[in-house]
Amino acid sequence: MGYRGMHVVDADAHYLEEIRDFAKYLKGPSVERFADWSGQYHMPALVGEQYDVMLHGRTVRGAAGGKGDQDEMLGMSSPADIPVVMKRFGIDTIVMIPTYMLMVEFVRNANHAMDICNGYIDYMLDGVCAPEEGIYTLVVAAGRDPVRAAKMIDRVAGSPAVCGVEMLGSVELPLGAEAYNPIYEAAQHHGLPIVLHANFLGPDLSSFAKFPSFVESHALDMTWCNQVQLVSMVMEGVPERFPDLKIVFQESGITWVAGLMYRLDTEYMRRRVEAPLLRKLPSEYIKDFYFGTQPMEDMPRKHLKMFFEMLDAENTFIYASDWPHFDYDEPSAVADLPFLSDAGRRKIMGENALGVFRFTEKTVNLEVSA
Amino acid sequence: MARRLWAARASEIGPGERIRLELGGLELGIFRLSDGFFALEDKCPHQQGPVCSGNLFREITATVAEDGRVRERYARDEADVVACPMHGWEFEIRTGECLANRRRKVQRFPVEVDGEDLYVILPGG
Ligand code: FES
Repeated sequence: MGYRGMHVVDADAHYLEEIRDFAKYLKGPSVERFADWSGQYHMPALVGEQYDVMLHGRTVRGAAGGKGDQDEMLGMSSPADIPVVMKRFGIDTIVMIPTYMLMVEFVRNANHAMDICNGYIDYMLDGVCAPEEGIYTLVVAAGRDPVRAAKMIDRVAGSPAVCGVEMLGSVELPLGAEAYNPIYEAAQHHGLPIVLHANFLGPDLSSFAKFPSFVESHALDMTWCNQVQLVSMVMEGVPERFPDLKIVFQESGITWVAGLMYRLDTEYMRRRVEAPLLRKLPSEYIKDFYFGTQPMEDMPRKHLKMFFEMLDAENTFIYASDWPHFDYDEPSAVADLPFLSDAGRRKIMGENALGVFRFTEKTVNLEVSA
Repeated sequence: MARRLWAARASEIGPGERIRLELGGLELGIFRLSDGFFALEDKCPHQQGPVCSGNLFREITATVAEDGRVRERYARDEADVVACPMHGWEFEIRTGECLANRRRKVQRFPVEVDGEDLYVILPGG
């Protein structure tokens, strides 16, 4: 498959976990809580009531011209959908990111949250993922109970379908905290990257700015929560504490990183005393992180090119589609950028991801696409 | 040299409807609005989505009323805006212009009506 002869890795495509099926993998009292839940979902669904994710019919999935339903906009809802999407986009290797699980940090009961995480990964490994076909997933680690989360990582890390550990920007304590050490240790030990998937934890959900529309919430929240976690992880020295841990930020576009990089350098030059673990400038740590490209900002090419240069994109960017969300990106949105070198294009579209995620079957797929 | 290519019978497209077709090597949509027929290339300037398959809407606009409050309203009564199904960019069918940024356009082609027959004028091939 591939796109323009390149091996394409999609680091972020969404699976819509079927709650009732997923419930079968839960253990203990959580089973009852799921079974007796009065609503369709076990967690708050996304962000309030202010919007229609399908733009009131303006975005459509499924048959062209037809009215899709809300579920089609949220994620692929059966294992059979995944190869169809891979074929459509020319994707060789895909990382399935959950949908409702992105809300798991809002489950305040730590035991319940961890039951859900354990059930979710078992559900994904039993019938949704297929590493021999290039279909992988991340184990979602709730931040409320890092010790139990680390045990879960140890339990499933042997599965060839697990390619990383997902943590969410909506954790209550920012991710630089030592409390998360067990999770980072486990991830580093198993060669799994930590993937930070942005979600609605911004001014809209957590502070003073209750926006009246999705366009406002989404524009700020998705970058804001990754900004919070990046600042925390860099300044509290996660890369110094876990030098072999790879860290990926997803779903915030790319322009937010550059300004923050130099802002942190400026702060650090003055207040180094408060971040004594650091051995180099914050911007230098940031260039060791990886960034999903989606949603690529729509902006003049010459300026976009500068952002690519500032962030050493050819070594740090990873193509991500975010299919089927309203703000997904086609492979062409990244691969066809005229200012990329051929080598850089190959890296961003696949090779960087192959080096970051633990894809057990990657050589097989590379041969197929060559 | 422009090409004048027969595209469809006018009666094939009811009021407020559209057809999609291949013509002269291009994918097109022909829309019928209250004042005539309009042809757009079925290729979105954003990420090449099948824009002509999108749902049709009335243009929503807003003004500041005398009391200082914002009033939303329809710009016209007709659903003459097509939204690209992939990411929701909205295009005015008559001009092909994107409502959010009129410099971004779907390629538009003139349509000539000759009795029952519709012809689309395409650039030389
Ligand atoms: S491809 Fe048409 S809106 Fe993106």
